[in-house]
Formats: sequence, structure tokens, C-alpha cells
Amino acid sequence: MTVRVRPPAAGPPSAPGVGAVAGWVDGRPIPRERLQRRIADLRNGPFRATLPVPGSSEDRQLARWLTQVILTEALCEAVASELELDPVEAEPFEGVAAVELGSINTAAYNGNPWVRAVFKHVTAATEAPPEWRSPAPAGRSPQHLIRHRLFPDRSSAHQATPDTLDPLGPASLDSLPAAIADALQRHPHGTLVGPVQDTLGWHVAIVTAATTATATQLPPDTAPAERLNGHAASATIDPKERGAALRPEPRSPLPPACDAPTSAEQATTHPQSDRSGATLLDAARRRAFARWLDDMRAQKVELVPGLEHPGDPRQPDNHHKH
Amino acid sequence: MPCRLLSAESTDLFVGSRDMPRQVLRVSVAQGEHESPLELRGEGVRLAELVTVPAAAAVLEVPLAVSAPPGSAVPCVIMLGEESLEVTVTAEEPGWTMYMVSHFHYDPVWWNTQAAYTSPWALLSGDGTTRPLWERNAFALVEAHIELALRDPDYRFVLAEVDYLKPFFDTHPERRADLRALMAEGRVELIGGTYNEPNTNLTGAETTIRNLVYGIGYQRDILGGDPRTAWQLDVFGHDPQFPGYLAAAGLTGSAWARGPFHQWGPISKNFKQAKNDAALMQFPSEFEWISPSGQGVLTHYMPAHYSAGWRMDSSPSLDEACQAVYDLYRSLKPVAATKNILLPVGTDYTPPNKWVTDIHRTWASRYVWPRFVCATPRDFLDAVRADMSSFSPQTRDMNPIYTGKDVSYIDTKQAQRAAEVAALDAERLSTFATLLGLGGYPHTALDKVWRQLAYGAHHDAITGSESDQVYIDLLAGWREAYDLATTARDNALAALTGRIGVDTPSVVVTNTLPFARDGLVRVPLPTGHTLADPSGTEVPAVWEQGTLTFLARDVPSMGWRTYQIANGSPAPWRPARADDLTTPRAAAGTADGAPAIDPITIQSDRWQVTADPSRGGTLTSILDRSSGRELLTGLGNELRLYDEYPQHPDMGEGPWHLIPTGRVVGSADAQAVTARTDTSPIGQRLIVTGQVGEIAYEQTLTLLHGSGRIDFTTRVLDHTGADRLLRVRFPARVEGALPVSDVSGAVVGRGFALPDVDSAEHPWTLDNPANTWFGLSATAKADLGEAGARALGVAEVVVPTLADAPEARDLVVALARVGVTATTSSAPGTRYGWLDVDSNLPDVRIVLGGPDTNPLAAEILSRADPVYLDTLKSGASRVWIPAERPLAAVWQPSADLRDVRALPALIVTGPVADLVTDLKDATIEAVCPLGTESLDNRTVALLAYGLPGFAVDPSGALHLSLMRSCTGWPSGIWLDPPHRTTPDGSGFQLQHWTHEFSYSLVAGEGDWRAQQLPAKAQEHITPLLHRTITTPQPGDLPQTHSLLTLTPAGDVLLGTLKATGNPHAHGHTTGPDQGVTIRLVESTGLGSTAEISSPLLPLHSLTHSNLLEHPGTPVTAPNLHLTGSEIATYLATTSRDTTGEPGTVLPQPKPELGPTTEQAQPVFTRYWLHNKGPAPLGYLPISLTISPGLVTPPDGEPFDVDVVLSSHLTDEPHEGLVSLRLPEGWTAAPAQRAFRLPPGGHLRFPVTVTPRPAQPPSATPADDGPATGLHFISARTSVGGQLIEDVTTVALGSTPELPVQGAPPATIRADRGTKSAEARPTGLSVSPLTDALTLRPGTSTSLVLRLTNTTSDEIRGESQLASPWGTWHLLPEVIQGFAVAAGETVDVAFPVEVPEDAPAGHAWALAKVMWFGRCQYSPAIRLEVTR
Repeated sequence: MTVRVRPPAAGPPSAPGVGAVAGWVDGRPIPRERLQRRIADLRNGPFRATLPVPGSSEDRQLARWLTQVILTEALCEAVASELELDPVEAEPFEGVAAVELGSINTAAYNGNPWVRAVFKHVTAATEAPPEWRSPAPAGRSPQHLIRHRLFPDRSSAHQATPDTLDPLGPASLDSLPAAIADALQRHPHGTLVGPVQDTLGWHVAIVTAATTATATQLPPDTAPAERLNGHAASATIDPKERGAALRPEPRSPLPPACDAPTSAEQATTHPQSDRSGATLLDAARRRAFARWLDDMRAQKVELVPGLEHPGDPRQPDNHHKH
Repeated sequence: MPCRLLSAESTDLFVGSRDMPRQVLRVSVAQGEHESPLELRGEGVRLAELVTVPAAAAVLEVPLAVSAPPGSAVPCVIMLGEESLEVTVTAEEPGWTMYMVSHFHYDPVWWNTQAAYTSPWALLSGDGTTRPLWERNAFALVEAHIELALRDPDYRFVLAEVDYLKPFFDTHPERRADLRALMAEGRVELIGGTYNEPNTNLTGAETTIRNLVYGIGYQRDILGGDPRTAWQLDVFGHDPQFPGYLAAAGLTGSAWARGPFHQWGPISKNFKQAKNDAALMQFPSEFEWISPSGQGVLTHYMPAHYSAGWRMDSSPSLDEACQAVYDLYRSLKPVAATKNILLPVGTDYTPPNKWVTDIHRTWASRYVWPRFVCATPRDFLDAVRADMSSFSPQTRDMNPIYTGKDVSYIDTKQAQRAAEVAALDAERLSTFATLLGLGGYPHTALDKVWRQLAYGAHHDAITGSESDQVYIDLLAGWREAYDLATTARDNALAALTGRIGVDTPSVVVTNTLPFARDGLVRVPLPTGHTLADPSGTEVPAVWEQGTLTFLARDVPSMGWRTYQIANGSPAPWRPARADDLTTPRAAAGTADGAPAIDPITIQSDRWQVTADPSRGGTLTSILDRSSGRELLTGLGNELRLYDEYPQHPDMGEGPWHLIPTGRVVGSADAQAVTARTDTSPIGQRLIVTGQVGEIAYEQTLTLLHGSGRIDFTTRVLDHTGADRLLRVRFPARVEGALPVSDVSGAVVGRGFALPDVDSAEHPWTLDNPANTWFGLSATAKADLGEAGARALGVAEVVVPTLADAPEARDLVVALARVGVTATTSSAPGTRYGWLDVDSNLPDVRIVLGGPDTNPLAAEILSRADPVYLDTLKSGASRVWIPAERPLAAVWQPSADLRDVRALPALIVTGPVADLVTDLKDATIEAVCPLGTESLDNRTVALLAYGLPGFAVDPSGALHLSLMRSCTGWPSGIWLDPPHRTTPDGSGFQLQHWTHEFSYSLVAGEGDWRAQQLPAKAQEHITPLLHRTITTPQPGDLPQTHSLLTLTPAGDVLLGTLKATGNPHAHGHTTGPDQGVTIRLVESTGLGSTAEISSPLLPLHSLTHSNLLEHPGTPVTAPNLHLTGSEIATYLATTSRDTTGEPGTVLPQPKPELGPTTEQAQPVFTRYWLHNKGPAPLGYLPISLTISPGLVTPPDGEPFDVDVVLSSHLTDEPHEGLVSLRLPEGWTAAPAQRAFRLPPGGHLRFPVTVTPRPAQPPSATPADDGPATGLHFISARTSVGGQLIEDVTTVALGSTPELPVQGAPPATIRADRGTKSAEARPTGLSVSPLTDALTLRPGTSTSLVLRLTNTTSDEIRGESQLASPWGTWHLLPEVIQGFAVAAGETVDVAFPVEVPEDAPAGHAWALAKVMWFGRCQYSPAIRLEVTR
């Protein structure tokens, strides 16, 4: 095993014709001015309120962190130039994806089209590791198309017609209160059932159809966008009975599900991400890129004293070791 | 010909097979001309197979067959052609496994807020002006770990804290199935068994016990896990009784990263140079951690800290990651108890490590041993147990860690104390009220009280290490806990006193402690009235400013005494002498012009105290009139103001460290400003004011007739300093006595502290946290006959070899029971006592075995006078060898006491069992043939209220830490703009307002047991409760009554008395009460036989119980035998009914005696976004969320939202109705959804929302389509009598409140927080109508907050005043709900009431306004009381 130990930050702090440097990439000095500009932009920008007190140890850590981002960008710019890559626009990494990629890499990726270009290039041939697997979607109870409404009293319930009931979309009978679920169970589909009283009030409901097999195989909480675009919108279901989830025209503000990086909003709003091959591959690409960056930085980046990695325990401001 | 054999290195790697492992010799060869065979010669070592060296340069891993015994070093020669190379092959043992445990931990509070750490962030801006974005990823982290485990079958990890588990699984209920599937495969372990990682050394025992109850309840019952391992990675030291609680809660293991050593452990750098040597620890990393109660669990300390295995995440290649892990394996191996090693792979908020599963697979493909495997803590601990059945027993005090935690944000420690005591009182009184059928047990209120206390016990909360904004949030939580607890307590008290028959208006004084007691009571009473006992005799009392103060005497145990309100004119305090020292008294001037001020003296029947106004009013004498003994050896009650660094010069970091510069000023350095004495029928008092540094102070000393205590109040009236630590000092040397402290449920010896050092030179001051008291005493002693006696404080117990350690268990337990914590070490191992590594120091060594069996005994004897060996030879089985120098001489800054003669040693040659027996009286008999020791058998102690930090220096001066002003990060950090400060513009951590500190001095003959200090301290922190009955009433309860007696009084204390079961903890719908839980605490350490009696409790059918209140075996003996320091839980049940079922002693449910619903309705379900701590009252058994949080539909077109319902009930299904509340004219399909959730079930359904359609152009402008601006869609349902709702914000058109798009958030380091004075608009403006309120006693006003809604829809929310401890009585109602219609303004008024007897002072109040997931904070409003 050949083991490289991360070398101490021993790069020359200045270069002829360049002046002070923030670090070295493949023997090329990266002007410190680039770091100063980045810091100045932050101090003059909307983030200024959140920056550390100038001159404090946390302020030096901020400079170190920004340096790593800049050197990562510079590294990728050089690679992109050498390979004649085109700049790439893409959604930023947030949520799980950002967490997986790491803060420096995510910052570089989200802020620089050449980093994204290199990401695309480096991960073009990435495959999910053979050990990884795609879990089978969980099963779910049989689904029905149900319309239902709760009324405060018997007389208003008696006047209910199927059209005045709320379309619930595909749902399992056992997701309804037991009294009305039992009553629906005892009646053939298409029968207006009720009013049935329980502690909540007077229920009236109708089951219009059992949903199709494809619908029932949906993972339990596929994102609405996918429900909209996907196979669930089976032609066998009368559109007006589908309920909200099956409306054919997506009006959702959510971006369509695709192999673009998951946005924070998607990741948090629709927690059960799609575990399809595309997601496995996305995760594999992020991991491959992070590893590639670690390797390239170890090979090509030389740090200078004072701008070490913020997590380097040898530098004097690395107090909090966790 | 070049030399080809470059090097050869013996390794502990093995190839081959498990049956025939082959040790690897690593050989480096240079380029050659052709391949050649390798040969090797050595005794018991041979090549395992033919090895051919290729022509190319290479590093070969050569398999060896080694028959030499493990550990032997075999000289070998390897040969390649003509060349040879000598190499020493060390025979290694195969069979080692390192368990790589992937983990992260999550701090819901620290520098960042709960919302910012745990947020879906759908709504909030990435522009850094709403909330900085850093470590805001708790949900994403849980997802990332689950996702990796689902795709990579080799990945294993842990989840832990309820603070993220509940929000995550409430909003992601589908993930529970993933979690359970992974748990079934053994690939995820729910660990902790605790609600969070609490700092157990800063709270009372019950707060810690409930942390376990709620943690296990959620992890086991609600999520279906099987928590067995406490996981206390990041905490700042541990309560000594904690391992016993773990065992009593059914946990079997624990693991953590700090305790026996300082912050980062013996390998990493702590101060100056890293030690890089795990073997500096005196015992293996797997050991039995035992509490003074004698119970313990298998525990692992993390020698390289909990982030040890994380850094290889950035390795540039798999090989390097493997090498990094191998290096860690080598560094951890020397202290492993078995061939199993735990490598924690993760740190705070970390995603899965990039390499860990590849290392798992690759390493297995390369080597048969050691194995590096992905694992859970259980995998590791099970393997340890399989290899070893008894462990090195350790009762070592795992303190002090981060000494700043004991004093930073001191007001929160006082708040915690008040809330905790109120909760315990509420439990006791409610239990009896419920038994009498006067109401239902307040399960719901107390559930939230304990959860708030658990939340506040987090290691970045009660420790005072939080940022300013987080402090405000936490303060509101403690206030809420206190208010809920006192409401429940007072309801129960009202119910009970309502049953007392009285013929005249009366005052009932209630004592909640299990022994009769005296105590000061302050009752509001109109002028012209006083109190009389039943015989009509007037009670000595003092009346002042509407309050009658008297010493209630002999109030029955857990009972009350009734006093008649009688006509009378009780006297006020009368001035006996007053000096205003601001104007020098010319007549009495001295030669140098300074005023001559006579000392002033006050006295009671017990004490005579003299103060010197010319020296700041410090005490020059405290004379115990009962013994004639002077207590002070210097100036007492002196305030000492220490200068501190803003952060440690070498170690960095701020508020959790004490960082004195060594510069200090004392109040004795200047004369007092005023000094006066008062006298009254109840006693005398002395009041001085003065200035020390930037602090203006007032100190009151009260001597009550008939009280054994001297009561002190120190008020910091004002101050302006920064980086200052304030202590109060009592030099009170007691010859030979050692520091002793209460640690909640036990008493232990503690080492001397070094408070006066410059921490740049000597970073460890050795301050310690005490629960309620500390002092100078002897918790155990060696009786040396004519040679005197020596107090034993902290011991190193040295056994001959590591393998002998388990045999010392009975001894270290016996020592711990009587208060001597011990480190069990072995003779050849490292000695205990080097402050560079050890977190504390011993003061005695107990060596088991004589010189023939224990090499350390031989070494000590060889360096001591021969008479000790002769004495042993002549048959003495215990010989005491005094140290070469006095303890104070070696106990110096940066002490190193490892030299065997630095400490006294007790050589024990007789059976250990004899010594154990001898320890039953906390005294060891031993022979000391040469030299003497001395011990003055008396005690001086300070009882403190919410002031845990103490230091007793080697000169015998007692120091109590009062407060500090910190500027080190994250002090002053504010996350959500605009930046808020105290009214003078300083950070809250500087504490620039009036503070009051209360402490009492007690002293007397004998040790702390003779003084019954645990009971006295309970009296000090537990107020007598008074209630006035204004009109005569009939009643069946006597005027003087005891509901419970517990004997021996004062020796056995009551931990808790409560209704059995914690329904909310386990996901139960509140069920019938099954009886009463009683927890007893043996407080002497010597063992007691307890007897309980009660006219109400069903004591005839007691069963033993664990902490989870599960019934165990019946109690058969009439009395309860408690071992020393035992904490024993019992259940009292009856079989009153005839069904044979365990009966219900408590009558049928009635409305609970405490609040069951939140003040502000509807209740917002994503409580964590409001920085509210734990979930609302009832703990949201049914949760409801609507997502996404923000919708911006183009042109107001229809859109979808998701509604998610989740049940964490475990016993019953829940049925309900979700309704959608919409802006007028909008529609939703479905508009309502009736639902049924089975236990643990969930339901997610979509709703299509159609904004109000645009009207034809002919319509009036007001109807011209949906209004632009913010609108809100809420999904609501009812549960537990509350309406709960979650809200989606719909932004139509361009509105100023929308999150700013733009630069990615991750490009900033936000952990310095905001300094912004302005915030962007949120839709609700919050402005207080005043920036200061100045009031006189007896007046009241309102603090008014004006709320203006600039959105297009109604805003509903909750406003809450935060204010520091000490101001709460001025602000009786601090939570109010509000609703503001679109475009409207409402005023929310909080009453401010100043009692007649309120002292002058100033503080602040700050309103926190929470609505729909937003938090806004008003400026701090100055609150001043002037007289």
C-alpha cells in the first residue's frame, strides 16, 4: 500500500508576478486576491450580517473554508479547460444530496458552472456499485376510489348525493373511520352508503371502483409529481373520480421528477425518494465525484500557511475537533 | 549488484483462513534482474508457503507460520539470493475485530436554533437574512443514512435522540417501515435509551431518570426499537449515579467520549502537545461503570474521541482510508479489554462516511485478521461480552469536564432548580389529591414539564454553552416547565387544603419533604394581622411591605400545619446600626484619612458573626456558639471577581471552559458603601452594599433564632463587565478534611480545585458541579489509631495484574457507597493522577496484595522506611504508608501525582472481603507504624440553590461560583434577524442585569452524615408552601397532618412519589392509574432500614420496580432494606376489586389537576420551527403536516398539497376529521377527510387547492381575482381536546415577504450569527409599545406588543415573553395566543405586577412571536423596579 499523508500547508505564500497566493493548483498559483474578493463580496452582500467578527479565529476559519471552495473551483476550471468542456447549468444540490457531497464540494458545485461541467464529465460513466441494491417497493392495502363526506346531523346527511361528496382519490377503506368503512364493506361498489353515525358525526360515502393494479403498486408515497406524470393515471379511471392526486394536468409548483438533483424542497416535502435505478446512480455519481475531488486535491493542490483546511488539526484555529 | 532487500516489518495482519491464519511479514524489495525465492529462518517462525519475489520492485506481504507464543519477539533472518536481512518478528494474536460504528449526533440547541437544525426550509430564505443555513440538515441526515442502508447491504448505523426522531418520523411516517426493516436486519440500532444526551451532572436525579423514561418510551414502545446502550458522546461529564440508572432502566451498556480524561482524550491534543497514547488511561476501554448504588453497565470510553473514525472520509483513495483505519486500530488496540475495538465513524451532523462500506468489503478481501466491519454498538458490546464476562470495575468520577458549564448562564441553572422542585412537589401533592378523589393526576402537564426539563438538560443547554438566541428559547422552555408544574402543584394544594376543617381564617403551611422540618415562610397578610398557633400563641414574626415572615416549626413530614390568622401588630425589621460609608466620618478618621469603621456583629442563639465594613463587608468571624469554634480562617463571604480570557489561549473555545487569567479582585479590597444591621423577633440580619470591579453588590446575612443555618443572599445589583467570573469565598480550613459534594442521589469526595491559576499555563482548575451542597468533611476515613486518621476522598485501587481487576469489584463498590470513587488500575499499568490526561486526581492509593503478589506494593515499600515492611511481616494486614509530602504540597496546578510516594498508600494483604466489611462504617482500620495523619472530625458546608459550580482549594477555602460574563463564541450570536441584545446593548451571556443568589452555611461536629446534609440541602431548595384559607370551612382533614412518614428521618429521602405509569411516554392514550410509584434514596451511604407509613397509600402490597415503573417481585419484609446510596423504586398497588386484576387504587378519572391544552389554540404542529423544545401538551400523539410549506402558483392556478397524518399511539386506533381552512372563495378537494389511523399508522393524501378565480372585468376592483400577497391554507384536526394545525403559505404575485432567491446558502459560514439590525418583512410586524418599564412596588401595568398583519389572510400564532429567572413573579402570564386578520393590527398585552416587597433591580423581557413556522423576537424591554 502506498499511503500519502496529507502534507502540511507548505506552499509558497507568494509567487512572482502574482503576489500573495491562496494556494497552488497543479503548480499554478491561485491569487489571494480571488479569496479577498470573495470575502469582500460576502461582506458587502446580503450575507454580511452573518459573518464572523473580522480578525477572530472564526473569521480565519471562514477564510480557510472559502479557500478550499476556491481551490476546488480552480481545480475544476483547469480540468474543464484542458478537456474543453462546456459550462453546465443545473439545479443546486440541497438536502440529502448536499449532505452526501459535503459542504465545500456542494458550494463549489452550486456556484460554478465549470465544477458542474467536471461533475458531468467525471461521473458520465459512473455505475452504481455492484453491491448496491434497489429495495422492492413496500406493499399497501387494496385501494378504492372513494367519495365521502361527514355531516353534522342526520337530515343534512340524508340529502347527500354522490356529487356533493368529497373525492378522496385512491384510498384504502381502512383509512376511514371504522363505522363507515364497515358499512362500505357490506355494500357493493357504486352504492351510496349512509348516513352512518359515530362520534365524529354522520358519514355518507360511496366506493366507485377499485383502483387498477398499477395504481396499487405505487410506492406508498411517491411524489405527487410522479403520481401526476406516471403510470398511476390509468385510463380505466373516470377522470372526475380520480381525486386530486390523479388530475391529469400538473399544476403543482414542484419541478417534475427527473434525474436532476433532488431539491431540498422535494427531499423534504416528499421524503420517500424514488428508489429507482436513477436515484442509485445519482448517489453513486455524487460519491464518485466527491472521491475524485479528494484524490485530485491530494495530488494537485498545495495549501499555504494560514489557509489550511479548516478541519486540519495542525492549524491553530482548529479548536473544535468534532 | 544493487541491494534488493530494503526492509522487513513484522505486522499484526493475518492472511490465510480463520482455521489457519498466517501472520504477515511486510518485505520491501528493490528492482532486480529476475525473480527469486525468498527464505526465512527463525525459531518458531517459518514461511507459510513458497514465496517468489518478482523482478520488479515491490512490497510483499509474506505469510508466516508462527508457532512462537503470542507476544514473543523472534529474531529472524530473511534471505533473497545472496542477500540477507535481520528482522524481529513479534508473534501476534489473530482474532481481532474493529467495529466501525457509523453515527452522527444532533444538538437541537447550541449555537444554532432548533428550527435551523431541524427544518424542511420550504419557506425560509436562502439569503441569510431569515436564518443562516448551516448544519440545518437533521432531516436530510436521517434520510441520507437510511438511504445508504437501503441501497448498500453492508451499511450499519445508529439513530439516537428523540429531538429529531419525533419530528422526522411525524413528518416522514413512511420511513418507520424502512427503519423497522433495517432494525429487523440488525443494521440500525436505536441507541441512547435517553431523550437526548443530557448533562446529568447539572440536574437533579429525577430529571435524569425521566430522560431515560421518555427516551426508552419513544425508542422502544413507539418506534419499536430495542435501546440497550446509552450513547452520551458529547456530554460534559457524568452524574456518578448515572450508570445505576441505566441498569435500573434495563439498559446494558453505555459509550461516551469524555469522563476519565479531558475533552479529546489521551490520544488527541488537549493542551499543548498531544499525548498520542491511549495507555495513559489506567484501565481498559471496556469496563464496568458502577454507580455509588452498586449498579452498573458495561461501558466503552472512546480513547480517540467520538469523531476518531470520521477524518478518513476525506482520504483521497480507498487504500489511504484503509491505512487511516488501520492506524486507528493500532492506536486503540492497547487499551481494548478484549479483541474487539469500537471505532466511531462520524461526528456532529455527519452524513454517511464515503469509504466505510468499501473498507468493510476490501479489508475482508485482503486479510482474515483483523476484521474491520460495519457494525452497531450492540454488535460490538455483544462481542465484548462473548469474550469476557467480568470487567474492570470503575466507580471513577467522570468529572470535571468543561468546568465553565457549571456557571455560564447561571440564571438557567436557577430556573432549572426551581422548575424541577416544583415538578416534584406537584407529583407528590397531586398523588395524594388524586387518592382522595379530588381530581385526576396531571399526567399531561407533568409530561410536558419533564420533557422541557429533559430538553433543557441537553449538554448544550443547561451547560450554558448556547448562543444568545438559543438562550432565549431555552429560557422560555424552563419558564413553561415551571408554570405548568406550579399550576399543577397549586391546584393539588388547593384541593387538599380545601378539605381541612378550620374555624377561623387560617394559613396552612405544607411541607413536601418526607421528614418534619422548620422553614421560613413568607405570607402576604394585611396590616394589623399576624399568625397564631392553635393555642392562640402569637408566632414570632416580622411584617414588612405586606408580607409576614416567620419560621414555621416542625411542619409534619409530607404534611401541613395550620396557623390561625389573628389580630396583631407584628414588628418590622428594626435598624440596629447603619453606616453610610460614602461620607467619611471625619470625627473618627484615622491618620491616613480613611474612615475608621468598627466591625459589626450580629448573633443568634447558635451563631455570632462579625463583618468588617472597611473590607467590603466581608466576614472576619463566624463563631459557632454551640462549640465555641471559629469557622473562618480568612475573610468570609468575600466576592472574588476573576478576569477571564475571551477564549482559551491555547485550546480555543469559550463558555464551556473556565478560562481565568489569574487576575482577581476581591470585595475585601475596598470598603463597603453601606452597612447596616437589623433586628426583629425572628432574628438579626446584616446588609452591606459595595462595589467589586464592575459589579455593584448587596449582601444580606440572616441569623434566625432556632435555625442552625446561616443564610446568605448576594445580589448583583448591576454590572458592566465582560469576561469575568464571580465567586464567593469562605476560607474555612478543617484540618485533614477533604472536599465532599452532593451529586444528586449520592455524596462523593472530590479533589481540591485550583481556582487562582492562569489557565494559559494551567488549563484545569478542577472546579466541579455539586447538586445542592458541597463542603469540607470526610466521607470515609482511615483510622490509624495513635497515628491519627486520614480522610479518604478519591482512590486508586491497584490490583496486581489487569486480570485481577474484577476481584476488586466488591471493594470499589463498598468505597463508592460511602463516597470514595475509585479507579481500578493494575500494578504494571499507568498510575492515576496526571492532570495532563486525567480529568481529576486521586488522594490515596489502595494496593491490594503485599510485596510478594503486587509489584506496586513492593515498589512503594522499597521507597519507604523498612518499618512498614516489617509491620506487614509481623502480621498486620493493612498498613498505611503516609505520603512523602503533605497533599496540599503536591496538589498543585498541572499536578502529576503518579509518583508512588506522592500519595499515601494503604497496603492490603488480608482478604478484600474483610476490608469490604470494615468499610460498612465508612472507616478503615489500619496500622501506621511511622508518621502521623490528622483529621479534625467536623464539617463546614455551603448549601446552594441552582449554583452548581464549586471549588475548594488546598488551603481549605470554599468557593461557590455565582455567575460569569462570557464573550467567547457562541456568546452574543443571534440567528434570526434582527439582532437582539440586552437593553444596554450587550450580549445576554454577559448577564448585565440584577441577579440574586442564595446559599447557606452549615457547620458542626462530625461528618456530613452527622450533619444530615442531604436532608438539610433538600430543605434549602424546597420551599414550604403556604395557602391562605380566608373563611372558616368544614373539612375532614386535620389541621396538622402528615400524609407520609419515612424513617429513619433525614437518612432515607424521597426521590419521587407519583402516580404509576407515564402514559404519554409510551404512546398510550391516558389509561387508568394503577397505583403509586415511590422512589427512595438512601442518603448516608451506610445503608438504612426504611419504614414508610401513610394514612392514604396502599402500602400493604409493595412491589419492587425498575425506573420504567414495571412491577417486579413483591416486597415481603415489613421494612425496606436499602444498601448505602441505593435508589430504590417501589410500586404501591391494591387488589381492592374482586376480579383478581391489579386494582385501581386511584378513583375513576376526573379532570386532570393541571393544564391539558396549550394556551394558544390552534396548536401549530411543526413545533420545532417555533424553537419550542418538545412537542405541545399531550406530545402530539397524532401529528399532522401539510406540505410543501410554500407554494407560488403562477397566475393563481390550482395546485396540490400533501397532508400527512401520523399516529404514535401504541394502544388504540384514532379516528378524526381533517378540515382544510382556506382563504375566502378558495376551494379544496377534498375539503375534509375523515380518517382512521391504527396504532402506529399514518395516512398521506393529496388535496387540490383552487385559489379564488379571477372575476370578469366588470366586477368591482375588490373582486378582481385573488389578491396578491401571502395567503394561508391550514389543515386541522382535533386531538386530546386541542385543535392542531399546520399551514402552507401561498404567495400570489410578487410579495416582499418571499424568500430571496439567489446565491447558494452553503457559501457562507454562518456560525457567527447575525449582527443585522433589520430583517426583511415577514408579513407580521412586531413592535412593543415601549422600550422600558419602570415600576414601583405594589403597582402594575401591561407590556403591550403591537402586531400588524401585512398579508392577505389571517395570521394565528403564539406570543411568549421570555425573561430571566428572578423576574418571573413580575410577569404572571407570559403565553398568549393571537389572531390578526389581514391588514389589521392587534395589541397583545402581558400583565406586569410588582409585589409590595419586590426589591429594586433591573432586568428585561423579550417577546417571542411564533406563527406558521416563523419566529420573531421583539427588542428586549428594560424592566426596572425602583423603590
